[in-house]
Amino acid sequence: MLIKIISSVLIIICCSLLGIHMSYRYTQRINNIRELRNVLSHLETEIVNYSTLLVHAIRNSSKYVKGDWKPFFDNIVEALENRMEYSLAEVWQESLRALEHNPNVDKAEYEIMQRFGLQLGSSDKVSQEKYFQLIQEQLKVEENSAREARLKYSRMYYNLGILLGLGIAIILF
Amino acid sequence: MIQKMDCMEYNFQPVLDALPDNLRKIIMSVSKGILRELEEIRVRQGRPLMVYSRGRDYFLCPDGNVSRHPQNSYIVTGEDTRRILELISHYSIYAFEEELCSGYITLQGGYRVGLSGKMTSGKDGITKFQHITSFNFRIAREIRNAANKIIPYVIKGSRIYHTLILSPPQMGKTTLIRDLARQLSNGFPGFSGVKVGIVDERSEIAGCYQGIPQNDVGVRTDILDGCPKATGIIMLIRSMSPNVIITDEIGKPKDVMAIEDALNAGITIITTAHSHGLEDARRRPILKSLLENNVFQRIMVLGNSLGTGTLEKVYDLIEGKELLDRPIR
Repeated sequence: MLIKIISSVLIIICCSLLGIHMSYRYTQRINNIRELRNVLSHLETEIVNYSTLLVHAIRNSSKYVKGDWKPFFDNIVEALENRMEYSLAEVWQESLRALEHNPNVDKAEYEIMQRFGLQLGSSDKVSQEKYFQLIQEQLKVEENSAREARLKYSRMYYNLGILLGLGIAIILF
Repeated sequence: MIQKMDCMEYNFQPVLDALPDNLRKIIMSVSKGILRELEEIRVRQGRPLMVYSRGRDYFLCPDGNVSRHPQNSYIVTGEDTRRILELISHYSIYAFEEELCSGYITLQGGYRVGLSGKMTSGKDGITKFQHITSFNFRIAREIRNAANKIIPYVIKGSRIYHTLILSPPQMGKTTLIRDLARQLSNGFPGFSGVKVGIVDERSEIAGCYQGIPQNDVGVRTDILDGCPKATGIIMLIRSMSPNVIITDEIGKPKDVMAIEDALNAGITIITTAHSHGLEDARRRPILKSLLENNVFQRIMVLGNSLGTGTLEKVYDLIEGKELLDRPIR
């Protein structure tokens, strides 16, 4: 009997944690988009106002970034500083690939950044400024949709986790 | 690493760094004799890769062999030119907007890359590159003591004469005034150095990279890099108190006015102009006024009767006589 109770409690706890984890993804995605917008805004200042060289600009802007995008920027800086035999677009896409299956980064942000990598650094300041405005707008749309998704699904996954645990526990009894 | 060691010998690593991997490998496979005297690497999209060395040009084959005919030569691709642009701008075209508009970029080490391609003019009248498809990597070499032959005519005791160097293109006048700047600035036995100001409109004399001269132009030398000559001369007079101002290739009425200002401020001017000789210079309106007013005390003419950079003639305009019996090199 005691074993049954203990195992049921464990099952409920595990399923609840699973639910919390699933719902946390939605919060994490919003945080990631917010961090990304922040870095890009820094990067825009460095490029448009100070004409800082791209490697230094990325290094300066990504210093304070947190979350899943940090390794992406760090990889680019490392690759460009070592003067690898690849173009910026190649280095960008390669670093981006590590985030392709990350559950906290949606396909939408991934594709936005993929396109942005082809334009970064390759034109004059006026055009660069426009690209930055465009990506900020696109990311804002994604941030809003991520918020809506969190409202819709976050609580659902949370409750589902607990209910699933309770369900299994009842069946086992 | 081996590649790096090899090109250290020729001393143009920054140029190689600005080339994509495939082009760099071709250049590094070229025979040593040609590389040692390499003057230009010409990259033109859709056309053969070429180098200029030992007074003539060569087509390069993909294996680094040189040829006098374009058959079998390496044809430069659009990807090559795109990569070069990325490399010379450090992936940051926006940071080089002004340089691009002036048609060249200066690399570390003072090497200049000339650019050409399709241009567009904007509403504000500024012309911008739309596509850059041709690159000319110029491997300038500093020739120390190149100015030794003219020093006795420029300096007498502690006095420095206002000097104009007349020369056709490619006769080494920039090399000459660069070394002259170094010697005047550092001093030499019998002459203690003076403060020198260089207005380096096209970054050719000092070859500045981010404001720091990459060529040795002397310890007492200040450089206004990328600054128009007329403005630069006035700025130097006002702020840097030079004894001598050196500029390259005067040719606009504004330059003449600035030179006259410098003379009134008691500053010696040493400059150059494109011309084949004194008579030729007198036919050009801008130079004519300077020569008639006896602004310059010494006129030197460069030519190639004994090889590039021969000092053909030296005139003393004040006394109205020639100081050189025969050309020297």
